[in-house]
Amino acid sequence: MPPPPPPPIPSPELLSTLQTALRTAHLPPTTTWLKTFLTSTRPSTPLPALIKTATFRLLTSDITQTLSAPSSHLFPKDLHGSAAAPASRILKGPITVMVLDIQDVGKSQWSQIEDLEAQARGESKKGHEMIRVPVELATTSTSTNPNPNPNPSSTSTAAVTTTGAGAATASSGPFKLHLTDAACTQTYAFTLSPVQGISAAMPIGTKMLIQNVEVPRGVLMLEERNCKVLGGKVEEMEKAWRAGRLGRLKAAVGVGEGDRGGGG
Amino acid sequence: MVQILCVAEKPSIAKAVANHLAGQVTTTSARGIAWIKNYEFNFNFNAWGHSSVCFTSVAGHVYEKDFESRFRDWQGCSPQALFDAPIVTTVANNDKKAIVRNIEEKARSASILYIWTDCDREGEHIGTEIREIAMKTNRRIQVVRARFSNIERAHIINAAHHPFALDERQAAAVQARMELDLRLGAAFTRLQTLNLKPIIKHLLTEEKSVISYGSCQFPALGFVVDRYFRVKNFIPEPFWGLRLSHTKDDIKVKFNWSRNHLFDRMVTTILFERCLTARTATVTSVQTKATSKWKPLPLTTVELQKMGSKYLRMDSHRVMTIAEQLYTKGWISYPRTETDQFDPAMDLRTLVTRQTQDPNWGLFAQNLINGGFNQPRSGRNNDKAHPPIHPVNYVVGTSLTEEERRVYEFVVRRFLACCSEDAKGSQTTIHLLFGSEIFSATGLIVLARNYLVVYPYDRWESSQVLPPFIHGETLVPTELRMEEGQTTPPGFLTEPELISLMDANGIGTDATMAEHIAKIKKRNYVMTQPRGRNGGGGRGGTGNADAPAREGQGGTGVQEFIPTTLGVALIEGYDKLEFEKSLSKPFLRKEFELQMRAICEGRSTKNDVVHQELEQYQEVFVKTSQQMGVLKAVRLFPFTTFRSCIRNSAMDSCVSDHLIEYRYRTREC
Repeated sequence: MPPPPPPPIPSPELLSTLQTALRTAHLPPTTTWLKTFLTSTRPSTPLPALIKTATFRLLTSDITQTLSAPSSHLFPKDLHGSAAAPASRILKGPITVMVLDIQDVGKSQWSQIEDLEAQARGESKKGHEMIRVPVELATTSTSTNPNPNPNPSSTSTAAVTTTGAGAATASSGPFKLHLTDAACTQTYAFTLSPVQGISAAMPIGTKMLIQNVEVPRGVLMLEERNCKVLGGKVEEMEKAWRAGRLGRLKAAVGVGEGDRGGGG
Repeated sequence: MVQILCVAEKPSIAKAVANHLAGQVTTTSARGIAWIKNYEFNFNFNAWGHSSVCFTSVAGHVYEKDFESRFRDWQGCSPQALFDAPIVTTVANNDKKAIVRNIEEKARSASILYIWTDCDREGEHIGTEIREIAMKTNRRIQVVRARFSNIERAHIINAAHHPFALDERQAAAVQARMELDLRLGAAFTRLQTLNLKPIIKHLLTEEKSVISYGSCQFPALGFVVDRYFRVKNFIPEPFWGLRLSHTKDDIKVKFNWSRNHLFDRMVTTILFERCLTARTATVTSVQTKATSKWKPLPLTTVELQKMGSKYLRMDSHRVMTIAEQLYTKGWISYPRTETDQFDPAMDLRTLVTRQTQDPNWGLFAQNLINGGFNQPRSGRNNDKAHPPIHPVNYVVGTSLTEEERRVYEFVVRRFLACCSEDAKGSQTTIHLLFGSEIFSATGLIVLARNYLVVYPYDRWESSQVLPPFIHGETLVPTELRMEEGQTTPPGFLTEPELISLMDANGIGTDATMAEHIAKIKKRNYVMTQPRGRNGGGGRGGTGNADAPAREGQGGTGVQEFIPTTLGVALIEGYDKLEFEKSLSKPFLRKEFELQMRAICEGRSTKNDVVHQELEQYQEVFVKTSQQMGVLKAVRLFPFTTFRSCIRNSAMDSCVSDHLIEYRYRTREC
């Protein structure tokens, strides 16, 4: 009886090569994560594919659980002000952050509630007048990620995006984001000018890389030059966020559920 | 001599056309009906030479369709039976019987029946009715129809020389519509009335009133109710903005923030502080360019109705009635048209010339003739039947009623504006970069008012003169303020808005929309009130992106619609049934309207359309009857109006900088 095959033990070289590659991609994983990851892959997997798969999994993970960044790649501890902290500072970074919430501050919350409710009824607007559209047309804007393929081929790793930019959500913002770094330090950010990839359709759990960003009063001023959307999302967070969005908006303006039109 | 029987749609047209064609007319009353006249005269038609003409008329539709008598009794059958109950055609009353007899008699000796009904779908259908009557006594009579769009003499004579064939497709579309309206209207009205009347008796004005259903009226009512709830449910929210002003050469220039306003105080405060920190602003661009305000498009029915409620203090139904009268008298062209482009071959200058004698706009017209004339802009719509509404002949205002005068004046001014030139101006835009924020100011100088001279319904005024700014110049803005405001609810639906919605959603045709609106008022489903009495009237710098633009600048008499308790209950009831195609929504009716078009274009037939539509509505009917409980359960809350006037506290707090005083305060309401 042949002995069972030994569990694959990743060679130290492989470990460190991977680690370097992922660090270069600004996604330095914890050693635990990396080891678990390697046990779930076949030893015969070529290195480039291995890096891609790891990148993809990290992008779809909760970075507060999976990343281990040096303090230079984290928000400073006194981000939210201490006696010594300046009112405005520059964060050099690069810091990998994850989106926990996004709000369109260019539109009133009430109008966003109206849009969401109309969408739920299969109605939409065209031009400045209210126009109703058949349900089939409206539903496409609420569908989410069409490509949940966990083992992406070629270069689509960073391209986990939703198709959700429907007519009602094509707002240009600006947006206020709630971000976290790998060490659970959270803060707000504001899109000072439009940043490619940041929109109302952006999935929760999207990873971004920020560098040389100005931070007045603890709020990051995002611009195309200091912020790069790496992509990804966290499925459970995204689902919970979408499901609770109408309720949150209503709570924010002070209406309870169960009013007319409530719940859709 | 050939004998020709001409029949118009109404007595006034018969009279007008006969007078244009005839040298000498003998007028007699039709037997048994004094107000229908027969005009007899001779006319030399290109097609038939010297002919003896008898010109008479009907008075709208001759025949009436109804269910066989046993289905007319409400208790006698279930409402659903009306979907396929046999329909009989009858002549409505004694007057109409006399009209039929008159045509029958006159047709006997005529060899040609020349139909002069209005050139639209209804007219085409009435034409087929007239043909049917004439052929009863003269099976070999040759049938032709005149094509005309106004009652101006040359136009009428030209039409008389160029007969066309009746358009059978348009007539078939009307037949389909009539059958569907009858069946659907009766079936749903009975269903609703039988089931709901006991519950809402107290809301009905009369004991015998019914809760009537119309496939256009319900979606129209749906729009009114929808807006009512948007106003009623509206929750105001605060927003914050930055306002910059800079005094240069003793001129205080106000700059607008490119972000307009944000719904987040923290972010706005940070941006405000960043501006303060930057201290100096840079002029990033100074652009002066020629600009123009476009003259209006040629006038369509929908546009006339909208403008009527905005500027003429009449509702759409009234405007149409008046326009109809002006058309019959030969002053304006046919007022039911979708066309917003003039045929290039049309002689517009002659029409302009006729207006030169007016004391008010005569000089303007004269200037057009003296070289100021410009071909009107062309819109995208052409119904291939009628030109845009335009004045045909000149009439002195004093010989018209006050309402006629207003409508005529509007039609003339609109037409002259179309033939004039765009207003020209020069617009300067200055952009400032302050911190990370962009501010801009615009100055407009109107150089030539052109069409605006004759068209006071549009406004375009020069703004303040801007002092010179140079690209790249840096300056320390005199004042920067952070202001707080609050969103205001939209206003209740106005008639122009309702017409736009109906138009965009295919509810009714341009010819029938005004009637549907009048009906929902008459049936006590909606009420009207002058705009701005209640609810969200004023809208200065609000967060309402879709607030109607530039609506009724105070006291122009725009009416707004508010649903009655009954109207709300009906729409809420149907909404609660949650059909994919609810009767309160426009989808079903839009399809219906598209099908009518398909018949007219020969893509479908009357039978197919009727069959298909009945099937669709019957499905809704069955579901509605099954879920009548839901409809009955709708709460009937008492009608209320809203006074959601928004006030802001005028709280001042100052933040000063060493050099300049910046004020940071909330805006007074």
